[in-house]
Amino acid sequence: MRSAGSDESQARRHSEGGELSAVSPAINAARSLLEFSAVSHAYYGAHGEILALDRIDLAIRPGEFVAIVGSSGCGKSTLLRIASGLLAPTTGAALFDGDVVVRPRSDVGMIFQDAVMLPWFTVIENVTLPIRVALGDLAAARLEAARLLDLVGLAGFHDAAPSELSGGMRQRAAIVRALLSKPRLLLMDEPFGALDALTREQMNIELARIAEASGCAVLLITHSISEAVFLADRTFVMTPRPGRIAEEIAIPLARPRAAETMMSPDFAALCHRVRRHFQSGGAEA
Amino acid sequence: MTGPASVSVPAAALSGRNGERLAIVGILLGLIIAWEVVVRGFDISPLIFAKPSDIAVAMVRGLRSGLYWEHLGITVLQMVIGFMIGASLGFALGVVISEFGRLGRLMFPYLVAIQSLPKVAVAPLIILWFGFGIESKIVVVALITFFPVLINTLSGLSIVDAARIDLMRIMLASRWQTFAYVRLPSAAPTIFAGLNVAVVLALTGAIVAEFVGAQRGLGVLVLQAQANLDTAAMFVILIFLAMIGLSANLGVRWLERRVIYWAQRRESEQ
Repeated sequence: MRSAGSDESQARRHSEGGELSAVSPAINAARSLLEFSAVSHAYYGAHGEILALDRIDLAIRPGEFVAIVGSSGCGKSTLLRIASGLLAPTTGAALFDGDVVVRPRSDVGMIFQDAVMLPWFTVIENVTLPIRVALGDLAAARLEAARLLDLVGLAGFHDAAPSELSGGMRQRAAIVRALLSKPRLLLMDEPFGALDALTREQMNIELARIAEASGCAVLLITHSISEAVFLADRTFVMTPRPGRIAEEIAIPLARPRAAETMMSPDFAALCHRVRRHFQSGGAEA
Repeated sequence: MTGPASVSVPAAALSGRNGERLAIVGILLGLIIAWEVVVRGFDISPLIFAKPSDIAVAMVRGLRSGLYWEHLGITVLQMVIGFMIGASLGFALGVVISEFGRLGRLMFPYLVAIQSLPKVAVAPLIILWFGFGIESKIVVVALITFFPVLINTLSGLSIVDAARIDLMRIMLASRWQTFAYVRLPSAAPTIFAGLNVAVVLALTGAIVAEFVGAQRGLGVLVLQAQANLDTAAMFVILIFLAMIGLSANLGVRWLERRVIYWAQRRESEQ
């Protein structure tokens, strides 16, 4: 199901990837998988109209990993909801494959800050729920889900209740649930925000591995600078109120990325470059 | 009514769950003995307060003669059928109202008005319409159980976990799938709270309707015993009613544990 374009970007991801730095946000629309075109969003709060997003232009290519870093309340979650089709922008549009996104799509998966496991289903029932809802082949889905659960270290927990899992394990199950539908784009809304620092770092390493292996494009929303730099091909820094893209930073770190990546001087330099935007506080390291 | 056997229970056996149960039985036996002693000691008239020994004799005699079984069966039947009809209709209407919001807003003032009316006051009218047979009692029981189930179904279904709804929207779930996979299981604990209230009311409804007008049933027996100044028989029927109420309550709780297995699971972990 992967297009030639995504194979190409897949190959590029595994190369040294230095040429990525030359890409500008005004990207060729035909080649982008997801594109935000002058997306603005306003809502009515207690003190009148609040502009959450101000003319966001951003494009993601097939197979690419893009991270958006911003402090809490900068509208980055709103941007993700617009991309998913859960929320309509006030003006502008999100385009997927050139089509305006008006509702959720089966080839776009989403992972929430909370794993959102339904307590009345077992882990494997939760993970295969999208297939059940889509009236797909449940038997095949269970086999594939079992394989993926084993792969993310949840062997022996297939028939457990979600409440028996730790936060990190639940989020891994949520990733399996999203990947099971073989999405072309995965939207992640601060997926590790509720986890402790140690689990979070471990999950980052696993996510890098999973994303590199699956070849699906990822749009990650985070307020962790190191997480964005470690995982992404490109990182966008967002400023709050109204949400605007302050800078696009290419992350030409070698893939596959692992724990050693975080010790390289390039990694530190890139983190520093992102951190300059948050000198007055906001995002964490 | 002899045997202070309960008094000689070793203290060690009173620790833990079993001990607690023994203590509960012991308290019951103690109360019965105290009751017997007080009625005998103060020479209280049997018209006012029957002795436990007289009640036991009346119960055995009544059960042997088969007098109680028929009436007990009628009351239980009215209660169970009425409860099932009332609870089903309450649940169904709750679902319809919550799914079709506009209809709900139109009906809500009327439902609140009917709900604040004491349903037993309607019993004479219902007996006028449905006669002295079993049907009128079933209608009264259905009416009295309908509202707690309806109200709790509505309030259970109004609890919406936004994240779970977002998840279903991302999966492109249909309205029915969202209802079956998320909204109904989320509402189930609240609906069962309504059923627990309703099952107690069901027995009240059956007895009160029998008071108002019936040929058979435990309510009729209570009135007959009262007319005959047979206090012991009245106590016997009260014991039956307590046992019916208790069994119905335990039945609903058993069903609740079966249906809402995940809540139980969470509870046992904490």
